[in-house]
Amino acid sequence: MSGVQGATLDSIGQVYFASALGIQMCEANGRVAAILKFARNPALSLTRVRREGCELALCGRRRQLLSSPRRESEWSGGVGSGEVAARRRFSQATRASPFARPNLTRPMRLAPGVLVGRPPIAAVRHPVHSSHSTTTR
Amino acid sequence: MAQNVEATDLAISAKGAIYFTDATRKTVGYVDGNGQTRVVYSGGESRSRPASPSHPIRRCSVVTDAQSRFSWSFQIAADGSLLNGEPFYRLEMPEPDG
Repeated sequence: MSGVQGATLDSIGQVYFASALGIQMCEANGRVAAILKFARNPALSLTRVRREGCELALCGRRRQLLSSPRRESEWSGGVGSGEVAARRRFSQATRASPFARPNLTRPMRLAPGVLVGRPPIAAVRHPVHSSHSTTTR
Repeated sequence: MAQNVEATDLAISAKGAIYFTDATRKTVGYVDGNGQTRVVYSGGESRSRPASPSHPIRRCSVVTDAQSRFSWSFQIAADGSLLNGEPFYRLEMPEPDG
Protein backbone atom coordinates (compact mmCIF):
# COMPACT_ATOMS: atom_id res chain seq x y z
CA MET A 1 0.00 0.00 0.00
CA SER A 2 1.37 3.37 -0.98
CA GLY A 3 -1.01 5.12 1.39
CA VAL A 4 -1.40 8.05 -0.97
CA GLN A 5 -3.80 10.61 0.40
CA GLY A 6 -3.57 13.27 -2.26
CA ALA A 7 -1.65 14.60 -5.21
CA THR A 8 -1.03 17.82 -7.03
CA LEU A 9 0.67 18.76 -10.29
CA ASP A 10 2.80 21.77 -11.03
CA SER A 11 3.03 23.63 -14.31
CA ILE A 12 6.07 21.70 -15.57
CA GLY A 13 4.52 18.31 -15.11
CA GLN A 14 6.00 17.28 -11.78
CA VAL A 15 3.56 15.56 -9.48
CA TYR A 16 3.68 15.60 -5.70
CA PHE A 17 2.07 12.78 -3.74
CA ALA A 18 1.21 12.86 -0.06
CA SER A 19 2.00 9.28 0.84
CA ALA A 20 2.74 7.14 3.86
CA LEU A 21 6.47 7.66 3.27
CA GLY A 22 6.20 11.41 2.98
CA ILE A 23 5.90 13.66 -0.03
CA GLN A 24 7.03 11.83 -3.12
CA MET A 25 7.90 13.97 -6.09
CA CYS A 26 7.58 12.35 -9.51
CA GLU A 27 9.05 13.73 -12.68
CA ALA A 28 6.90 13.88 -15.79
CA ASN A 29 8.17 10.43 -16.76
CA GLY A 30 6.38 8.89 -13.79
CA ARG A 31 9.44 8.05 -11.72
CA VAL A 32 10.07 9.23 -8.19
CA ALA A 33 12.82 11.87 -8.10
CA ALA A 34 12.78 12.78 -4.41
CA ILE A 35 11.07 11.97 -1.16
CA LEU A 36 10.54 14.32 1.73
CA LYS A 37 10.10 12.17 4.77
CA PHE A 38 8.12 13.16 7.79
CA ALA A 39 9.03 11.58 11.09
CA ARG A 40 5.65 12.47 12.52
CA ASN A 41 2.36 13.56 11.08
CA PRO A 42 2.66 12.29 7.56
CA ALA A 43 1.37 14.52 4.83
CA LEU A 44 -2.34 14.07 4.47
CA SER A 45 -3.09 16.23 1.53
CA LEU A 46 -1.56 18.46 -1.06
CA THR A 47 -2.86 21.39 -2.96
CA ARG A 48 -1.31 23.78 -5.41
CA VAL A 49 -1.30 27.54 -5.16
CA ARG A 50 -0.19 30.05 -7.75
CA ARG A 51 0.25 33.59 -6.61
CA GLU A 52 2.31 36.45 -7.96
CA GLY A 53 4.66 34.28 -9.97
CA CYS A 54 5.10 31.74 -7.21
CA GLU A 55 4.10 28.14 -7.37
CA LEU A 56 3.72 26.30 -4.12
CA ALA A 57 2.39 23.07 -2.80
CA LEU A 58 0.75 23.24 0.61
CA CYS A 59 0.65 20.02 2.48
CA GLY A 60 0.03 18.27 5.72
CA ARG A 61 -2.01 18.70 8.81
CA ARG A 62 0.58 20.96 10.39
CA ARG A 63 0.52 23.42 7.54
CA GLN A 64 3.93 22.49 6.30
CA LEU A 65 4.94 24.18 3.14
CA LEU A 66 6.93 22.90 0.20
CA SER A 67 7.86 24.85 -2.87
CA SER A 68 8.26 23.43 -6.28
CA PRO A 69 12.08 23.23 -6.65
CA ARG A 70 12.37 24.87 -10.02
CA ARG A 71 10.41 27.83 -8.82
CA GLU A 72 12.58 28.47 -5.80
CA SER A 73 14.29 31.53 -7.23
CA GLU A 74 10.96 33.16 -7.87
CA TRP A 75 10.05 33.58 -4.26
CA SER A 76 12.40 34.27 -1.41
CA GLY A 77 11.20 37.36 0.37
CA GLY A 78 9.64 37.16 3.78
CA VAL A 79 10.42 33.54 4.49
CA GLY A 80 12.37 32.60 7.61
CA SER A 81 15.99 31.59 7.11
CA GLY A 82 15.41 28.10 8.43
CA GLU A 83 12.67 27.57 5.94
CA VAL A 84 14.82 28.83 3.08
CA ALA A 85 17.69 26.57 4.09
CA ALA A 86 15.47 23.52 4.32
CA ARG A 87 13.86 24.32 1.02
CA ARG A 88 17.27 24.81 -0.57
CA ARG A 89 18.47 21.45 0.71
CA PHE A 90 15.55 19.76 -0.93
CA SER A 91 16.08 21.67 -4.15
CA GLN A 92 19.78 20.86 -4.28
CA ALA A 93 19.16 17.22 -3.49
CA THR A 94 16.66 17.06 -6.25
CA ARG A 95 18.90 18.69 -8.81
CA ALA A 96 21.98 16.69 -7.83
CA SER A 97 20.13 13.43 -7.79
CA PRO A 98 20.96 10.93 -10.48
CA PHE A 99 17.30 10.04 -10.34
CA ALA A 100 16.28 13.42 -11.67
CA ARG A 101 17.00 11.97 -15.11
CA PRO A 102 16.43 8.30 -14.48
CA ASN A 103 17.63 5.54 -16.68
CA LEU A 104 14.41 3.99 -17.79
CA THR A 105 16.05 0.69 -18.66
CA ARG A 106 16.57 -0.31 -15.05
CA PRO A 107 14.56 0.18 -11.88
CA MET A 108 15.39 3.13 -9.70
CA ARG A 109 16.55 2.87 -6.15
CA LEU A 110 16.41 5.81 -3.83
CA ALA A 111 19.61 6.67 -2.01
CA PRO A 112 18.94 7.07 1.73
CA GLY A 113 20.51 10.17 3.18
CA VAL A 114 20.79 11.92 -0.13
CA LEU A 115 17.22 12.50 -1.09
CA VAL A 116 15.55 11.90 2.21
CA GLY A 117 15.53 14.84 4.54
CA ARG A 118 13.66 16.53 7.27
CA PRO A 119 10.42 18.31 6.63
CA PRO A 120 11.26 21.46 4.72
CA ILE A 121 9.28 23.80 6.88
CA ALA A 122 8.27 23.21 10.47
CA ALA A 123 5.38 25.61 10.66
CA VAL A 124 4.13 28.17 8.23
CA ARG A 125 3.46 31.63 9.52
CA HIS A 126 4.05 33.50 6.35
CA PRO A 127 1.91 36.63 6.11
CA VAL A 128 1.54 36.35 2.35
CA HIS A 129 0.46 32.73 2.40
CA SER A 130 -1.44 32.64 5.64
CA SER A 131 -4.61 33.59 3.83
CA HIS A 132 -4.26 30.41 1.78
CA SER A 133 -3.94 28.07 4.71
CA THR A 134 -7.56 27.13 4.45
CA THR A 135 -6.96 25.71 1.00
CA THR A 136 -5.36 22.62 2.51
CA ARG A 137 -7.81 19.82 2.76
CA MET B 1 -25.19 19.60 -6.10
CA ALA B 2 -24.91 15.82 -6.26
CA GLN B 3 -26.78 13.14 -4.38
CA ASN B 4 -26.29 9.45 -3.74
CA VAL B 5 -22.54 9.64 -4.04
CA GLU B 6 -19.87 8.73 -1.54
CA ALA B 7 -17.22 11.28 -2.36
CA THR B 8 -13.90 10.77 -0.64
CA ASP B 9 -12.07 13.68 -2.22
CA LEU B 10 -12.56 16.25 -4.92
CA ALA B 11 -10.79 18.65 -7.22
CA ILE B 12 -12.02 21.69 -9.10
CA SER B 13 -11.03 22.47 -12.65
CA ALA B 14 -10.32 25.92 -14.03
CA LYS B 15 -13.78 25.90 -15.60
CA GLY B 16 -15.41 25.31 -12.27
CA ALA B 17 -16.27 21.68 -12.82
CA ILE B 18 -15.75 19.20 -10.01
CA TYR B 19 -14.10 15.82 -10.10
CA PHE B 20 -14.72 13.57 -7.14
CA THR B 21 -13.66 10.07 -6.26
CA ASP B 22 -16.09 7.47 -5.00
CA ALA B 23 -13.94 4.77 -3.43
CA THR B 24 -16.90 2.52 -2.71
CA ARG B 25 -18.02 2.33 -6.32
CA LYS B 26 -14.45 2.69 -7.62
CA THR B 27 -15.43 5.55 -9.86
CA VAL B 28 -14.51 9.14 -10.57
CA GLY B 29 -17.49 11.42 -10.92
CA TYR B 30 -17.80 14.74 -12.70
CA VAL B 31 -20.11 17.61 -11.95
CA ASP B 32 -20.21 20.17 -14.73
CA GLY B 33 -21.04 23.84 -14.47
CA ASN B 34 -24.75 23.12 -14.84
CA GLY B 35 -24.78 20.71 -11.94
CA GLN B 36 -25.08 17.61 -14.12
CA THR B 37 -23.31 14.62 -12.64
CA ARG B 38 -21.85 11.70 -14.52
CA VAL B 39 -19.20 9.04 -14.09
CA VAL B 40 -16.05 9.72 -16.10
CA TYR B 41 -13.99 6.79 -14.90
CA SER B 42 -15.05 3.39 -13.68
CA GLY B 43 -12.32 1.25 -12.21
CA GLY B 44 -14.31 -1.97 -12.32
CA GLU B 45 -13.72 -5.01 -10.18
CA SER B 46 -10.16 -5.61 -11.26
CA ARG B 47 -8.78 -2.27 -10.21
CA SER B 48 -8.19 -0.73 -6.86
CA ARG B 49 -10.02 2.13 -5.32
CA PRO B 50 -9.42 5.65 -6.57
CA ALA B 51 -8.63 7.79 -3.56
CA SER B 52 -8.06 11.34 -4.67
CA PRO B 53 -8.16 13.33 -7.90
CA SER B 54 -5.58 16.04 -8.48
CA HIS B 55 -6.43 19.49 -9.70
CA PRO B 56 -6.43 19.28 -13.50
CA ILE B 57 -3.59 21.13 -15.17
CA ARG B 58 -2.86 21.24 -18.89
CA ARG B 59 -5.62 18.78 -19.64
CA CYS B 60 -4.01 16.22 -17.40
CA SER B 61 -5.12 14.85 -14.08
CA VAL B 62 -3.83 12.29 -11.61
CA VAL B 63 -6.00 9.92 -9.63
CA THR B 64 -4.28 8.37 -6.66
CA ASP B 65 -4.80 4.88 -5.29
CA ALA B 66 -3.85 4.36 -1.67
CA GLN B 67 -4.05 0.58 -2.06
CA SER B 68 -1.56 0.35 -4.90
CA ARG B 69 2.00 1.32 -5.75
CA PHE B 70 0.75 3.12 -8.85
CA SER B 71 -1.26 6.26 -9.30
CA TRP B 72 -3.15 6.85 -12.51
CA SER B 73 -2.66 9.52 -15.12
CA PHE B 74 -5.51 10.70 -17.33
CA GLN B 75 -5.99 13.05 -20.19
CA ILE B 76 -9.00 15.30 -19.97
CA ALA B 77 -11.30 15.55 -22.96
CA ALA B 78 -13.06 18.75 -23.96
CA ASP B 79 -16.25 17.57 -22.29
CA GLY B 80 -14.44 16.77 -19.06
CA SER B 81 -14.21 13.02 -19.57
CA LEU B 82 -11.09 11.19 -18.45
CA LEU B 83 -9.29 9.44 -21.31
CA ASN B 84 -6.31 7.15 -21.74
CA GLY B 85 -5.93 6.31 -18.10
CA GLU B 86 -2.93 4.26 -17.14
CA PRO B 87 -1.03 3.41 -13.94
CA PHE B 88 1.75 5.85 -14.74
CA TYR B 89 3.27 7.08 -11.48
CA ARG B 90 5.23 4.41 -9.67
CA LEU B 91 5.63 5.34 -6.03
CA GLU B 92 7.98 4.08 -3.37
CA MET B 93 6.42 1.90 -0.72
CA PRO B 94 7.15 1.71 3.01
CA GLU B 95 9.39 -1.15 4.09
CA PRO B 96 7.34 -4.00 5.52
CA ASP B 97 7.60 -4.37 9.29
CA GLY B 98 9.72 -7.17 10.69
